[in-house]
Formats: sequence, structure tokens, C-alpha cells
Amino acid sequence: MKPNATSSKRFRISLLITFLAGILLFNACYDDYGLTTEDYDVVVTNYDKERENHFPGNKTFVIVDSVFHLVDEDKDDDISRRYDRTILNQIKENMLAYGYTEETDPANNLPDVVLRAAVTTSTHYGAIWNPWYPGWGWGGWNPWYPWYPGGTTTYYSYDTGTLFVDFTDTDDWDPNGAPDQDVKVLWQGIMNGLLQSSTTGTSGRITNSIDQMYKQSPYLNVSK
Amino acid sequence: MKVKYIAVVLLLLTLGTAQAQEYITTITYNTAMPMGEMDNFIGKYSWKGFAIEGRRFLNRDFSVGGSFGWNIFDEKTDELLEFESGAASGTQIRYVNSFPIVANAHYYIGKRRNFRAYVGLNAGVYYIYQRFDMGVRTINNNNWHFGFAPEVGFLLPVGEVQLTLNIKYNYALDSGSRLNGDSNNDYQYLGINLGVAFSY
Repeated sequence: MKPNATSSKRFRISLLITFLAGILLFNACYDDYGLTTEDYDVVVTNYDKERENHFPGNKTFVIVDSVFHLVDEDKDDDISRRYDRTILNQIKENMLAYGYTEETDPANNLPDVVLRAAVTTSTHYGAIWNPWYPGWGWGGWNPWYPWYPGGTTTYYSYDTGTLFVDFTDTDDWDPNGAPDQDVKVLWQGIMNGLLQSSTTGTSGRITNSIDQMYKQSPYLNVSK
Repeated sequence: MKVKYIAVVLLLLTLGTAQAQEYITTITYNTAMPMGEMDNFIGKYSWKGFAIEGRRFLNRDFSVGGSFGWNIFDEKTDELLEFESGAASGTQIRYVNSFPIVANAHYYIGKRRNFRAYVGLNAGVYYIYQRFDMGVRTINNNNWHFGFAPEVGFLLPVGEVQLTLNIKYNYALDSGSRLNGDSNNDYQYLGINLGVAFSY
């Protein structure tokens, strides 16, 4: 029996419904998870696997008293120093909590561990073309796609900041070497996140991230 | 001798009672549960998916056809990622989009215009797009996989149409590699699909 007119109509209706359902699904395909600025913070920790026998062992530490700013030579250093003391204090607090003792006279008593903090910033750019919002006239000219009807292009930029905490073992230092000798980093904690204007918010995110660096590095704990 | 028996069976399958040809178009709302290795990446049940399917009955009990579908899996998690010499933490959004494009065959128990149960097998290709967002970074991966999906289900006449419900185990075979570098990149998910069939 060949399909009749009614059957063909049903078939076309069913295809139309399917197409519309697909369109709706496409537009609602991903949940909006309502991400906040804090959700974009990432904390990564890493240690030198070949020297993991250095853990835990070390007991005394000192933190370099200023936060380094990593800036290209041809650019101005416009990174704020507002959070320097917060960073250094939080690192110190975590080291003490993990059983380390702060060396108060490092010039005369070389500590076991030297920590250094550094920050850098980056600006990221991007563009999003949304074909579902018809714009006036033609979308533009592109040699690969000569004409595309309407749509809108949104350009955006955002700034991110990265904090590095380097943990070096002075056993790896060359006592006869130059003061600016290269030193292998035994452990490093990195925090990356969006820059925001709120001081309270940023300060809280920094302290939480430094705490997280230590939380996910239990091998640093010498008090156990 | 064995060939003769196989030929007889195939002939019986393609003949059967002299019923009029029947065609079915099916639209289903698809849900799915990740299984196997896929469950390690996304464990959350998917409530987003659909499929369209066409079947042609070769006789009263047997049909062949094809289908196209789309299942969306996504999950937000803050699972700690541990690797050999460290770890990473932060909010992650994980996605898998699966597009099966398959041919199928089904065997039915029951008569047309009555309740009919069926078993079937789908086989074809799956296009799978995997994406991982963490912080301001996104990495993604897409591959074509060969795959198959056995299923059981039923057709229940309701007025002018038929209600259909089926359970389908989708297995997209290994192809390419996972985002974390693992060489085993197969995907498995159990689908529970509800929809409407138009018969003509």
C-alpha cells in the first residue's frame, strides 16, 4: 500500500515538530550554572617528582619579603601591591600550620626552605558571533564566506591574574655559587582567576586559594 | 547444507503473511544514564535528548530502518584532579554531546493496531563531542565512532498514533583518545526513550 495524502501530511507534521523540538533543544542545550567570579579560580600544585624524597624533612623557612611582579620589559608595572601583605601573611600562616618554624635571622642561619611569591596579569580577547539574532543588513564580508545574513558579533575582553608560590630547598643551593644562581623549585603552587574590582572579594579569593594550595599538598606537612 | 538452511530462514523472514506494507515515523524524547568509562567523566543523568526514526516493515514481524539522535550530557563538579606529581582544583563544567546515526532492524510480537513489543539492534556511527571547562580555559575533543545499540520496547496504539517506549544500550566503540590522554575512548550510555509513532 503506498502512502496516501493523510499519511504524507502526518509525516511532514512529524518532521516539522521534530525540527522545532531540535531548535528548542539546541538553544537550551547547556545549563546556565550561574557561575560566579570565584568559580573561575583554579589552583594547581606541582612538585619535582625526581626529588620527592626531600619531603617532609625540612623544618625552617623564610619568605622573601616582597611579591615579585612578572611584567614584560617593554610594559609598565601597573599591578597593584594592595594584596602583597595578604599573600605573604597567608603563606606564612600555612607554613606554620604545617609544622615549619620561621627563621628570624636568615642572614646568619640559612633556613631549610625559601619561599617566593610572584604575580602576573594577562588580558584576553575574543569574539562571539550569534546567528540567531538577525542584525541589520548583511553580517559582513569574509573571503571564505562571501555573504552571511545578519547575526550579531560581540567582542569581549577580560583580565586574569596569576599568583605563583615557589618553594625551594636550600640543600639544592650551591653555597659557593653566585647570589643570582638558578635554583630548582621543589614545589610550586599556582592560582589563576579573573581580576575583579572588589577588594574584599579579591582578598578572600587569594587567601582561600593559598589555603587550597596547601590543602592539596599534604606531603608538605612536617608536623605529622 | 548449512547454506540451504540459512537461505530458507532468510526467505521466511522476508515473506510472511500478506499484510499491507507499513511505515513508521517515530519521534522520541531521550534520556540517558552514563555507563562504563563515560561515567568517570560525567556521572549525571541526561534529561536532554531526542531522536527521529523511520522504519519500514518488510512483513508483519520484521522492520528495517534508520535513526538520528542527539543526547546532551553536562555536569558541574569541583572534583579534585590528581596527577602524578600534583593536583588541580576548581569548578569544572563537563560536556558530552552524542549524535548516533544508525541503521536498525526490529522484530515484533503482536499485531498491527494492537500492543506490539519489539526487540531490535541499531548499528552505525556516533559523532561524539567532549568538552571540559575549568577556570577560563576550555579543551575539547571530537571523534567519529562505530557503534551499536541493542534495544527493547513497545508500540501502544493511542487514537491515531502509537505511544512508544524503549530502552536502548548505546555503545560507541573506541576512537581517538580522551581529553586526559587515555587511549580508551569508548562511550556507553543506557537510554530510556519515550515518544510518539506515526504509522501509515
